[in-house]
Amino acid sequence: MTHKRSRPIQISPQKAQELSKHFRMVTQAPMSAHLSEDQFIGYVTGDLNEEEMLEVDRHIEVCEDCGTQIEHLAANAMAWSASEGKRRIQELRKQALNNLKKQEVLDLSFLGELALQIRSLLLGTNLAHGTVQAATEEKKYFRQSEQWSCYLDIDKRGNYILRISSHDVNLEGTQLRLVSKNWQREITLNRVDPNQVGAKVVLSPEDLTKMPQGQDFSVELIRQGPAPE
Amino acid sequence: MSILENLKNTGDWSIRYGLWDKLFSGDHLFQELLGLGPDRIDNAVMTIEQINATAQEDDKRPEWEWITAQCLMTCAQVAYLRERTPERLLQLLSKISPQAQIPANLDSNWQDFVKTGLYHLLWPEPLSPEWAWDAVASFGKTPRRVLKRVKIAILLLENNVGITADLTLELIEEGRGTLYPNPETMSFVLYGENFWQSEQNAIAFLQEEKLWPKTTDVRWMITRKSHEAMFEINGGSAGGAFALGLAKLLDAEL
Repeated sequence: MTHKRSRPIQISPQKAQELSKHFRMVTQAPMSAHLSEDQFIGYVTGDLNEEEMLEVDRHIEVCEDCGTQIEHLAANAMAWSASEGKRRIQELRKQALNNLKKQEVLDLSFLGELALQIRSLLLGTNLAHGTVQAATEEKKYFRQSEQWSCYLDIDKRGNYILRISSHDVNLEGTQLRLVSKNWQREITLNRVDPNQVGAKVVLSPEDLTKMPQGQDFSVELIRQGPAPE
Repeated sequence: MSILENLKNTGDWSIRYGLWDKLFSGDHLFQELLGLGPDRIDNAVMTIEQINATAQEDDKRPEWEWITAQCLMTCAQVAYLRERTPERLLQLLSKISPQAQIPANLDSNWQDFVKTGLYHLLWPEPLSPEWAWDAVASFGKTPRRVLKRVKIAILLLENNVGITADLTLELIEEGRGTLYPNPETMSFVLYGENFWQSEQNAIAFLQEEKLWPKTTDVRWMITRKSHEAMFEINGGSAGGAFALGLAKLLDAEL
């Protein structure tokens, strides 16, 4: 195999001037650096001043990567501009709001269900004359649902023990606040079994007098999941 | 559905350990064991032992409760024994005390043989051979015979609150002068030191006065006027009631 030597190229004076300009720019541009995120966004949105715009122009002329990225950004930005872009943004906003509402409904039913279970167990108690009777006498000592199961009974010290558990281990570390009329208690769901989380709440007779029968009982979410380290 | 059946069927932590607490209060464990019979006793004991073994530290029973439960379960196993051999009896009693000893040969009827075995065993305090024999006899549907019963009203302290209750004393035949709590209702009641001391004082008084014949036992139980389960008894005032009740119970025997 033989190598042919290429012939010298003939160029016009204008082309030579252009090439010389390019050559100067290449030597001026920082070879290793790429545009920053602020420069990309500022360039596409037109927020940079003249000097900054020129700097970016010079860079993308010699940097293929940044040039390609600017093209993509510009093309994407086009999709969100003008009347069609505004319509798309409005659609997205509507969708996000719907998702948020759905999430709220989910949270409400998730915690509301727990509140309902606890309330129904507490309704089985009898606080007449300052004494507490075992809810078990009325066979109302436990409640089960898809998400939660709860158990309430009196212990040897005369306190009520409320146990709450769930098979959803993603709830590990979640902090909840149990709230009644003049009473509230914060609890954390801990791993109580290899595949369950739960909490044990001790309710003294004094606690029970602060949550009269028939009063609303609610559960609030303080923090979902474990505390950040 | 019984507590034990619910315990077996539930996979939920809250319900499992809620029921677990309940099993160790009042007469629940006794009633559960009474309802089992020879076919189901061994499985039930296995279930209970397994739950205790896998329980987290906070859900485990206090030591005295667990020992009482093990003794009660052994009494039920003894009562329901199908294989009535000295080896099998020794195997069961060894769970209570590894030093358990029984005669190698069955030279009396089975009931007497079992009673002797129980009476030779060192039972963990405050349990006694009389308590165990009473439980075995009840599980075996041949309860100890009551000769006489007296009931007197008493005032007790429970969780530092005064409660009114009835002290029932029953004179039991074929005994040896022992006062013991009814295993059915009193096994999981915690006695305070004051109460325990007052009971001992009452016994000492009656024995000094030679009012108590050594051929009978006295079984006692305390029940709330409200019929709720007893959890803990404290206070020394029960001593007087014990002395009075025992004197009344034994007087007729003199």
